[in-house]
Amino acid sequence: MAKTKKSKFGQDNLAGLLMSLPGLILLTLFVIVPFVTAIYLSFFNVDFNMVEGPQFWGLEQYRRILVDPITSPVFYKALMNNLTFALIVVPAQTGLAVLLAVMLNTKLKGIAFFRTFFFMPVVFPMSLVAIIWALMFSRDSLGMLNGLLNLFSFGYIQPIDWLGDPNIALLSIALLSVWAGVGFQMVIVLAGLQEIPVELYEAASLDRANRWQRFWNVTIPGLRNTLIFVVIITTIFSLRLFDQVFILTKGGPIDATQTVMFQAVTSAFVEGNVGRASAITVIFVLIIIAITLLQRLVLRQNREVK
Amino acid sequence: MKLRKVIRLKLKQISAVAGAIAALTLGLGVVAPAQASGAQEITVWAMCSEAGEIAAAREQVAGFNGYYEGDYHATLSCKADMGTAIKSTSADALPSVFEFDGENLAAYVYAQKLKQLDGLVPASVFNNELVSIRAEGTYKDGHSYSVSQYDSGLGLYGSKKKLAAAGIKDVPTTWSKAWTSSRFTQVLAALAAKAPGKKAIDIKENYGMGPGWPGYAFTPIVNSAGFQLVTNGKAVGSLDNAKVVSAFKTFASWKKYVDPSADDKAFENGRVGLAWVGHWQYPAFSKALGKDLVVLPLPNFGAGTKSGQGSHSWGISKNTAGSELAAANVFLQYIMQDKWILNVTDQNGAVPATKTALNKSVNYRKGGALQLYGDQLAASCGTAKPTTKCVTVPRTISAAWPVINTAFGTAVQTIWNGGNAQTALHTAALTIDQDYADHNGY
Repeated sequence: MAKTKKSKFGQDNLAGLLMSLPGLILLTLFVIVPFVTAIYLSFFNVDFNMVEGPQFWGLEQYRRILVDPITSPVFYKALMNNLTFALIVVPAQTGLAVLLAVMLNTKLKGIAFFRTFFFMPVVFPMSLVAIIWALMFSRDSLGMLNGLLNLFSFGYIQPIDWLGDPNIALLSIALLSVWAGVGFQMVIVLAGLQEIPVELYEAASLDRANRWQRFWNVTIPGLRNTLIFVVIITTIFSLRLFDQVFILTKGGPIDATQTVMFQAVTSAFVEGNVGRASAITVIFVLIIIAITLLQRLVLRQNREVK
Repeated sequence: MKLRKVIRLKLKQISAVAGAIAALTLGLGVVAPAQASGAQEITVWAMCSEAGEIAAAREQVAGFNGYYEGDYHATLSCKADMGTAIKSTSADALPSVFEFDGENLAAYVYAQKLKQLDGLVPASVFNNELVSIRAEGTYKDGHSYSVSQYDSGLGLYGSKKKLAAAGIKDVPTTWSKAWTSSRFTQVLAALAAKAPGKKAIDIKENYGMGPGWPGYAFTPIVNSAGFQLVTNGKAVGSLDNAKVVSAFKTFASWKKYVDPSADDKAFENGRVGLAWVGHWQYPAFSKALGKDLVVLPLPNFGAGTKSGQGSHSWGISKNTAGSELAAANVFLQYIMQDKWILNVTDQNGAVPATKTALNKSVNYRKGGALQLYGDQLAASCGTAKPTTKCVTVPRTISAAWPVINTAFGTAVQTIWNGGNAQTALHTAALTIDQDYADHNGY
């Protein structure tokens, strides 16, 4: 008895291993190998055009990024921008996604049209979205946003320099990002909503719960796991902020939209400084892992299936 | 043995067919005639971002293949992002001949990707080039590494009517008479006062004030203050010099007169009376304004007006040798004929980069609408410290250029958005000097 059980376990193990192999190979190839390489490269002075070959530098790249009085402030500024951006975008995007999903979770005629409509920005490439928004964000009165504000305030609100004012630029980027990204979270929440049994709503109605009470006591608890997933994925997305910045502001004005990812990419592919880019990436991965672990600790997923 | 031979033959056929299919389907290569003859094969990478340039690249390769049929044969490959293509290709894998953005020449020579052309391409070809483009193709060792079919022109465009309506009578049309920066401030104020939107000029803010556009368009401000971005491998004391700082403060003070030009058409659509941009806008401007258009030099910040120079260049990859090198050399000489130079400049509007072709160009020759650009390029400062006697300055010929360009562009963006000019330029200078130090001064 014991023997057969053991061999069966072994077979399962083998099958499991085989089935996870494609995933494992891809992970190794595209995540683990590059990351280990990045750690290795971060100890060198190495760039694309180097003829003499890499020089071992020890922790010099890290010293410049984290300690050096001239080169480190911009990294901390970028990190703060990333965190500020996440603090704005995660609640805004998650909240809006829930709102839209609840609104679109009705059995109206032509609801598929509205669902598609709100999901559409997710399908557009960010480069396209950013270019369209560049026109809307134009700092003169001809920009669409400024034109609208001016019209509705009867000329009281003067044109705003959306992407050129250091106090506003990051907010503008956040606004665009929420618009472009919310459809994705909405679809996930929509799927979550459809998992909530109708009986719960019926029972709540029988208990004379009003709409708001039903939303608060049935919908939100029913979406718990979905929401945790959405918050974590949105946090990771918002920490990777790059495309919008690269296209619209190049990190400016006055470093107001510098992000860690932007610095890593420009270090490597514009300046050719592979060592610095690797070091930035290593630091950033550690920070993201820490944030994700913290989030998981705080928002422990409820694994019970009810 | 026999079998192996058959297989090898089959493979050859298959690869030939596959190659032909690839060339046809991609529509990039010039379709090769049956390669039975012993023609020496070369590969050519061209920069293909603009329709006219793509067409010209195809035409000259086809011309070359026709003219040298049986002797040489070039296969063209188009690259939309040549900078990345060259950066990510090892020296052995580069094609025999490639086109590149001239500002990167030093980086490629440093990375041992470019071959020295002195002694290969005849001196007559180099002597016929504009002095500006010769300067851009010369590395710090004093040798030439590229030839160029065209150069670029940068200056101001103006609307005669709008300038007259604003009461401005001293419109300069030669570089020696350029407005001073303080006079320019008055001009902008006068133009803005008459404009419905209260804006006076389009400086192509829509190209992006971050790294990129400023490296070409606003480096002349540094030069016009009497300095280079980097002097003898050092940016501190040069880029952050008090005169440069003061020039950029003036520049930033013009922001209130600048139309952000989100639609890229502030000048054509008549919202402003001036535009600070290069030769490529001439066709559109000339179409919109006709006889009302005038071409002016950039303002003078103390050391005379200065302008940008440089454009696409052609080079041979370092490891090209033997009969392939001979063929590559013939190719460069072939495309440097006036006929092919004018063929491309007619399509992209750029300044022909040889003296003989320039004289044949309707727009750029003496008396042409864009003569100013030719005159500015003829008065190149080269790599010497800019003085009032010269106009165009090449972008720093150093492998540090990508870092210089990024640091300078970031500083310009900061200043433009209200940041402290002294701090911004000093930080940029420190960043540049650090890069030189990290590479033993290149």
